[in-house]
Amino acid sequence: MTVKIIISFLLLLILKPVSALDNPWEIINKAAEASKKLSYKGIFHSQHSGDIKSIEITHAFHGSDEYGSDEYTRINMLDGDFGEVLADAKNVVVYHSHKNDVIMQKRKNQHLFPAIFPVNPQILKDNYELSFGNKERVAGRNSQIVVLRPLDKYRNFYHFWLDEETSIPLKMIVSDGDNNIFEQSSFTNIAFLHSSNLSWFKPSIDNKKQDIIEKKSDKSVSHNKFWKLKNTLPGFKEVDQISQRIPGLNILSHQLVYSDGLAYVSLFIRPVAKDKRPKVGEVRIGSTNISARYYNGYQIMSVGSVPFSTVKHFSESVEF
Amino acid sequence: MNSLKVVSKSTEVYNASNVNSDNSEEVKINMEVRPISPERAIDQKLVEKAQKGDKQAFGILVEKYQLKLNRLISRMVRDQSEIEDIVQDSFIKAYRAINNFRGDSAFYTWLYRIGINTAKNHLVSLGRRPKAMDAVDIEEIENFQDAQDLRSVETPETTMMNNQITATVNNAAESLPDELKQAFKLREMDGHSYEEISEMMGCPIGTVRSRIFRARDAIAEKLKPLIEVTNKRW
Amino acid sequence: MNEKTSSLFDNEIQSNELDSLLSKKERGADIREAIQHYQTISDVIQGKQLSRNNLSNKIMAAIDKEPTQLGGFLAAKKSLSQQSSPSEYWPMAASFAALFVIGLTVFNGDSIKVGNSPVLAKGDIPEDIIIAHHSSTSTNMKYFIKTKD
Repeated sequence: MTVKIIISFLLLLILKPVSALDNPWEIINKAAEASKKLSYKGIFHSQHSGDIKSIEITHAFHGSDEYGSDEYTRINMLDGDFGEVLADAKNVVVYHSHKNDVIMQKRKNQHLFPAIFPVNPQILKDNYELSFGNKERVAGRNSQIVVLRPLDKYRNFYHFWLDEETSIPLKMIVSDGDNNIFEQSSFTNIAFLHSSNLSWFKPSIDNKKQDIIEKKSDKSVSHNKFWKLKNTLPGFKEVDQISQRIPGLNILSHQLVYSDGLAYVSLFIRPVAKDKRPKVGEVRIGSTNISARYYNGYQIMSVGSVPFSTVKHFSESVEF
Repeated sequence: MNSLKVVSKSTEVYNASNVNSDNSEEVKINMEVRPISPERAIDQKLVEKAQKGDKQAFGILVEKYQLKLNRLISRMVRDQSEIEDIVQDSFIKAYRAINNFRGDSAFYTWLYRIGINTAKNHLVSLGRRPKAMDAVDIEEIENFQDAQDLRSVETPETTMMNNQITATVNNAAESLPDELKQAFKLREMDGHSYEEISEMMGCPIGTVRSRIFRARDAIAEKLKPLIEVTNKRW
Repeated sequence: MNEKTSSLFDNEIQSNELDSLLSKKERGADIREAIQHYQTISDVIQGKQLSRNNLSNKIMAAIDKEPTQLGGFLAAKKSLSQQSSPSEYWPMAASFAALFVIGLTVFNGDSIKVGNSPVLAKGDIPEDIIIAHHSSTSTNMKYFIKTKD
């Protein structure tokens, strides 16, 4: 009997809820900081919807001054057509040899693996429960499994393998409550850099020869909000609004972006063109769920890699 | 953010409307525009290339202005090694901030402001008080000429080397073929443009260009061995 | 190259010549060296003081370690007198579509019935909406990975 009690206690320790430890969320804080402040280079596999790609990432954090940004990321696609991304603290530039052009946009909500956590990870506490799992090796390094379980039905499960030494995420799996995996990313090798030489942060493609397309919100368009959400989901806050005029139709389309720090939902509000039938219903495309609704002459669509209940809630919450 | 929209433009008067995106109120602003000098136009082009990631273009700007910046900073700081550090820091800061340069002023005006601020910060960090450069205004910066009354770090060795270089250059210039010498001196001594020289010499601009280049090339050939010996520092 | 460098030194170089001069990446140090020599010659001819420390190589060694600046890519395309117009987003959606085919593999066919809600087909969703969502909210490589349709 005593042995059983001891074993049960040990099992409880293996996957223990947050409350048993002092400040367990500190590990998430460390993970968020590590992915931003460490300099590293590695290759990871990224899988979603059955497709796996190998990606090389180089990241450096450079001491900032009043003139320059301080974080630099370079991502190269190692499989398929050549593609490259350069991102500093303010801008993201995407190069693609396939189209022979360059897309540039302001860096806003792009949190790419392994820098997956929000700037303030504490906001996750209200909507996720943190649990510790086993320790495993990933990319030749010891890691601690940490699971963020959603506290309601509106979010997914996030599993992280955090490097024991640095806390940087080495592996990540996003799944639903039925253990369906939406996406996963995992380093196969990673090395930490100690040089201040950032000469690697330059385009591979000859950017002088490319057309550079800037992707930005048209600031001359009115941002007058004529809508409101009658019921907001706990934890989801509006993080961006992008309004664009659809060329040729003179239709103003609004995209509102909501996030709880890990999950993102876009809510699109646009008038329905005269000759078009509005769409109503739901569909899943890959790991992305979409809910569509017609309201007062407007097509409402919410999009996100979140449970159907979430996108449905958003699309049905809009009123004006 | 307000956007500037060009309503009409002439060579003398530039009308711009300042359109407020919220209430469409228009404010007309009349500004005079001076033609941009060739130097400023070339610098702007180099800056644009540097903004697009071309470090070589920035390197040309470094080469053009490092000496002038050195002399400017030496008006505030005495120690030569400190001056060099400040000059280097200034260029690095300028490179990091290159996207902030909008072309409202000449590049060297912008660079010099960075240099002065860097020097001031350096002096403050050492507990020293910045000198009279506080009173330097923009016009003075733009008109800053290589000052001849600056204290120079001269040693007997450097004096000897300077004399050798001076003699070599002058001798080489004097032994140039006449047409090369004439074009070269009209440019270097009198500061005439290629177009002016072409009119004065009665030859195409391309010929002027070629002659000036060949003159420099011939002199540089004789100069190189001297400079290589000294590791370009004296 | 050196004739162009000589013209550059005199601020007499044409724009296309400057492009040509700078297009040869490995010659940056050569250009700077030539300018140094021309400056020395000019100083002598004009009777100026020669005392100088040329820091350009040291400065450029430090600049070479600096990251490429991204923010000015678009500013670099505009001339001083040219007004920039806001870019239209929707035409770029086509570029994005060519660049990134976003997660279009479905789990169980083209649509899924959820509860009593009507079922939409994949084709009912404008591609620009999917693209706009992912380009604004990238949390994973989905934004940058091409997947099968």
